[in-house]
Amino acid sequence: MAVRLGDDAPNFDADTTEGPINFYSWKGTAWAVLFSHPRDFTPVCTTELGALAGLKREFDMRNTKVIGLSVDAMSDHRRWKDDIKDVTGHALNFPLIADPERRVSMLYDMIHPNASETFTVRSVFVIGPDNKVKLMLTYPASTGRNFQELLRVVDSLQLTVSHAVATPADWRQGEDVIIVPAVSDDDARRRFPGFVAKKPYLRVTAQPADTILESAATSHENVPKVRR
Amino acid sequence: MKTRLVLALSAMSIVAAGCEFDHLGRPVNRQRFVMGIRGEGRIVYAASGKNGEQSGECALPECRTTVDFDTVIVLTPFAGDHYRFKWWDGLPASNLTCYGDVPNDDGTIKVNVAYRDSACIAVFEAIGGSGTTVPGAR
Repeated sequence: MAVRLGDDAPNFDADTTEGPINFYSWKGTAWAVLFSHPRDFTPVCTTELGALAGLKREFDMRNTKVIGLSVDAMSDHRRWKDDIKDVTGHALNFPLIADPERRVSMLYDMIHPNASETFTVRSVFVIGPDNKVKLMLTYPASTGRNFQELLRVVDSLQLTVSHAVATPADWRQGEDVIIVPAVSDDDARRRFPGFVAKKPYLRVTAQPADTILESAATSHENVPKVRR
Repeated sequence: MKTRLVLALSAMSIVAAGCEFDHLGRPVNRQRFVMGIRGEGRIVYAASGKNGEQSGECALPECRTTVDFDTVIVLTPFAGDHYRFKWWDGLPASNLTCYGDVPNDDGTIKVNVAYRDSACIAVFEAIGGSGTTVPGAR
């Protein structure tokens, strides 16, 4: 049965490049990104894992653990690590699950038979501290993922679970956010002084200061803010 | 009855290698797979994929093939007289690696060809290490 938003993320035991793990024990109370790639020693996947390794510090700053998966054997994972570093300059710094029996792949519905009956597609699951699935992404084999986008959605998820706000289209760390409709105007004036109502249902306010994260991935970005 | 061949042995030049994708991102191209031998011996192969099965032998330095996406090929090495199977090698000069599972005790290896090209060359070495030996000779 397919995993859906809000579901408990299935727990599993697996062999990884950093040793055997129980997913829940490994994850603990952190956030987690569980993602699959189609195959080791392939071009797009090599760039993806290198890109993610380069952003590992950013995920650490967000209390978010990262773990990859493919149906390749552990011996392939271990040999492939050298290529990833060679090509991208980033050594693999997170565990990779070897799932040749496709147990975890099937558990998370990462094999889409009309794309490939054997290999995982590019799935991403963001799992919260409560072990619930917070976000899912699915890309085909031909399209490498944007891991800055993954950081962006983690920022949004972490912001919106702790404050009564949502994030608009293309929102980025530090930009204005939307006050959720469940908050009355009176309550909004108290909690978000100075908010701007563009429409009765669209009220914009600054991102709560205690949630603004200054990091290498965001502090040098010069993107236009949502106009208030 | 065998359906469409999944593996086409060909003496012609290899078709464009690598994996391409259709408009839905599904891999549509076939991959390049090279098998071959070094020394004296032969490989028996059995290939199976979505479109059928094919089996045969290769006793040449290189048997070049094109293979449907996600074809599984089982390769068994048979050493010639006075030779023994040593290991599986790739074709480094062509940047091709033997992406097979760990071989069985008899050297049989399983290769799943998908998303990437591959080459598996059976290396046979002369028993005794100094060329062919003649039984009974001293």
